[in-house]
Amino acid sequence: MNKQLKKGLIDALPIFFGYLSVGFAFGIYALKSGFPIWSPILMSLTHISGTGQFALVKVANIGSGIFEICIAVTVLNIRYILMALAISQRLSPSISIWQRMMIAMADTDEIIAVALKQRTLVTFAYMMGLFLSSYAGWNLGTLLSVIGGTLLPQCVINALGIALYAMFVAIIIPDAKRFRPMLYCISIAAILNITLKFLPLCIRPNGSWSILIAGITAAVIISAIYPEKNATEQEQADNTLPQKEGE
Amino acid sequence: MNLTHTQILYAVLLTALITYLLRAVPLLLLRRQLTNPFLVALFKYMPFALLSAMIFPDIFNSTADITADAATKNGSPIPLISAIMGFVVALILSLKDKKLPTVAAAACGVAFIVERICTLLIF
Repeated sequence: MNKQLKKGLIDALPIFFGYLSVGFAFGIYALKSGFPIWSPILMSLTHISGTGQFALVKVANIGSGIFEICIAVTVLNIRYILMALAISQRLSPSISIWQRMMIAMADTDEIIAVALKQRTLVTFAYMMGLFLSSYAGWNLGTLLSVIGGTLLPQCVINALGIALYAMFVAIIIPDAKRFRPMLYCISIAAILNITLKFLPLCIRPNGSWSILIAGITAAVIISAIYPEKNATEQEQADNTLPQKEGE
Repeated sequence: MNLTHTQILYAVLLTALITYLLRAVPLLLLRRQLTNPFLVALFKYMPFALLSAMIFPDIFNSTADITADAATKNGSPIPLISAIMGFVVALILSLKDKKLPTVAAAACGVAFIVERICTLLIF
């Protein structure tokens, strides 16, 4: 098997288990809300987006029509634009337009975060490896919930709920430990997002807007103070070093 | 919910298309590497900042039963306790540069054990 593909499949194992649990919870939630049995499966196959799928069910649940559902999903998923822009800067130049269109399916918070952990430019095969593991977990979780919601005991599902968050912690902490600006950046974002939760109800942004406001503000502040060279320039600079440290 | 099966099908497919476009359009439009130092830094820090905002404070609610109805949620402190313990373990292992699967598995394991112990002690 292609070495990069295999690496991607393995690197995405925590996503597999995290998605297994969230996909499972999603299936239960959709069925409980009165959605027909085929719909959570179709949603997981075509969306691969936790926030979007939960929002669809929630908004439909309160009696909204298709238009409102589309607006809600769009607003909640604006974040993907930012994630896609970030990963676009790390894709190997050999990647074609068709391959980019396939990589777009893999544009979830979790997959992008793992891909960005790579110090070098990422290949198409690696992205597909990450995608296949994650896609399998997401859809297997949904399928399991539909064919038998009692297959996994609730206490196990609850504990799995922390998997993706723990993975996020493991992604941001090592960088924050090494680079001071990154530590400032994640601290500002976290403090801002928590602070926004304490605003009076009438002006408090909902969860998704709150994350966008906190994240964008923190990133803009830190980028203004600590501008950077791009990945290619950085690699060239690293290669000219007399002794390259092995990783 | 007052949607028919056909309407659900349309809603699912339409939102799937929207979601895909949000992901694909930026990737297709921005095909070169930026050189502006501010933008380079911005795209480096943005995902981390968003992830951090996603973690805090939501991680502390992550082990609660999200499928439970509001009526059956009895305000038990157990999910909060298991989530805090899971977070602490994830933080310590991350500081030691452990791999992602290790950190994720350890946090789940600890959250599970803490929940079991608390449940035994309380009931």
